Parts: sequence; structure tokens; C-alpha cells
Amino acid sequence: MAAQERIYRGIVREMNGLNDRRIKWVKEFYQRLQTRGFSVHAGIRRKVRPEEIPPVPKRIRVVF
Amino acid sequence: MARRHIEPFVDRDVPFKKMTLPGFKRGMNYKMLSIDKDSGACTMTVQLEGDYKQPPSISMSDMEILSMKGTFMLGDRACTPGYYTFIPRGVAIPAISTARGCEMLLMYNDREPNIIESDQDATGAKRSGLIATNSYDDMPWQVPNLFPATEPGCMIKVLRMDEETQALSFLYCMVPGFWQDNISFHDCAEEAYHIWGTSWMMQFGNLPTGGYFWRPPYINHGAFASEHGILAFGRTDGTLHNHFHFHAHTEPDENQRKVGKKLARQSPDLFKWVMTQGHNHPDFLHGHGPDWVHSHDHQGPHSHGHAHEQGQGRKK
Repeated sequence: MAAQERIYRGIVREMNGLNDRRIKWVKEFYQRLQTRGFSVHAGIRRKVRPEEIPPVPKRIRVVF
Repeated sequence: MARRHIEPFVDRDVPFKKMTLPGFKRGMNYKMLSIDKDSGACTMTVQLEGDYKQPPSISMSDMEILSMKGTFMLGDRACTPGYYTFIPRGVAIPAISTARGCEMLLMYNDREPNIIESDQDATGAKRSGLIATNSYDDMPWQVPNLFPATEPGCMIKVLRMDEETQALSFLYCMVPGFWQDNISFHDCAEEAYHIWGTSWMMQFGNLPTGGYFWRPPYINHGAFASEHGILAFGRTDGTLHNHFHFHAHTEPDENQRKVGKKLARQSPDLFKWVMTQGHNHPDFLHGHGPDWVHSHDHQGPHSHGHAHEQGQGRKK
């Protein structure tokens, strides 16, 4: 169990260290939503209007 | 299941350890991928060394095995890569042996790894639940029949579905060039191991061969991509439904609340029935429910600790 906790804490550190790249990926994702579209279902896509795009946060927590 | 959110974890980065729990024979090595801190249920990558031999046995936990490398004998059946078996607790497992060594995924679903030498089923064991198949050779790939579904190019082989919980065990693959531009979360925990190939997720980056995750419910994952394709094994602990959205910053509690509201919109009768049993209801419904009247014809107090005027929850 202690080993599992060490792995978990290591993952949290590693994922926090990935934040800047993740924010860049999110910006690219939000751009693609407006050009190529949002994957709604099995190949059906919808282009997202600029006003629907959420603000890009500075940090995103990904491990809980 | 109370397991930590382990994502991503690459088992190639850590060495095998010797299995020293009572009953397991020498020559069995493991890498712990995830473990339930309450029950001891776990998922491991297991290596059996050449000439390993385990006599017939039973386990007091449901078990799943997916063969990944080499060949082992299960009784008189040769188990090559892709062989999958679900063994209900108490069902006798034939002798296991391997001449040249092998690797597998080994899962104990109810409690810590345990083994008792026996060639007889335990009393009450449900042998009818035993599954054994070669998932590579004997099953076709299928397009997932989920609504909403993944982008074309992600396919699945369902190996097992629990009749009561709809928990799934399955192989899945992504074709080269697969791309899916949404963020997904589920109402169930999800687990996966990459047998071969690398995929990318916007939250976690690349998950290569040997990559693993155990992800609790309602955690965002996606967008998704794979340049060269993948082959993977996955499991859920309940019904797999894709909740797709594109808000990259939402957290599990917010996602869960959204599902509650979505259920009220999409299945109002079911939602009403579930939520009004004993007149318990969540705060977020007040004034936001579907087309039904919030009744106050009850004797006991509200369960959420605040007072409001009669008819406040009535839809206008």
C-alpha cells in the first residue's frame, strides 16, 4: 500500500509538471473545435461557435 | 472500489517483485498496477518464470487473467497471447505451468491475492460464470454500440459483462491516425492497460506500451489521438456511458452534478421516482427540475437542512 502511495504522489508531481504543455494542448483543442468540430457521436461533428469556447485556465488539475 | 487515481503509470519503468504471499509457488513475479486499500483487490502484471508449476487451486476472489506473452498451460489447455479467462470465486483452477515463461495481466476483484490448493470447487462456487476464450483468435472486432459513441476507428471486443452491474472487461483498439476531439467522463471507474502502442490524451500526454490507468468516475479524459494505433485491455466497474463535453477545466464533483441534471432532463420519470423516495432530494433541483411539482405532503423534515416556502420548487 505504501508503494502505491509513492506511485500516486509521483504521478501527481509528474502531471503538475505537465501543466504548461497541457494548457498549450487545450488552446489547440479549442481552436480545432471551431475549425474541425466537436466529436458529438461516431463521426458526427459540430463546429463550436467562438462564444461557446470556455476561457483557458492557468492550471488544470487532472489527478484526483 | 476504493483505488487511487493511478494515471498514467508505465509498468516498464519498474522491476518485477517476487510474489511471496502464502500458497504461491516460487517463480511468480509481479508488478502492482493498482490496489484497493480497503479490500486488497488489485490488478497486476505477472511474470511466470520458466518451469513454473502451480498445483490445482481455488481463490476466494473472482479472478481475471489475460495472457500477453509466451505460453502457459492451464490444465491441458495451451494459453497463448490473447487467452482470457474469468474465474468466479471458489471455482477450481487447473494446474498452471509454463516451460519457457510467460506474462499476463492478473486481477483479483474482491480481495487480496489468495490461493488454496484444491482440485474441487468450493461449496456454492458459480462454475456457470466461468469464461475462457482466446480473444485474439476467436472473437471479431466490433463497433461500440454506445450512444454517444467514440469516433470511427476505435473498436472493441467485449470479453465479459457482469449481469448485475454491467461492469465490462474488453479489448479495444485504435486504428493508426485515430483522433477524437471531445472530453469524456463516465459514471463508473475505468481501467486500461496498453498491450501494444501509444495513445495520447490531452490531460495525461502519451500512454505507451505497458501504460496503465485506474481512473475513478467523473474524471475528464480526452481529447484522444494515436499516431500508429494501439491494442489495449480495459475494464469498468459499472455501466459505461460516454458523457462528452469540451470544458477542459471541470472537476469530478461538477461533472457529477451535471450528470444529475442531465438525468432529470433525459429521464424525468425515472429521476422523479428515484429522487422522491422518502422525499429526499438534492439541493440543486430546487427551481430547476423538469416538469413536475415538488410536493410538500409529507410528515418528516427535509433531508438537506434548509427551509423554504411551499411551492418554491414548482416549475413556472
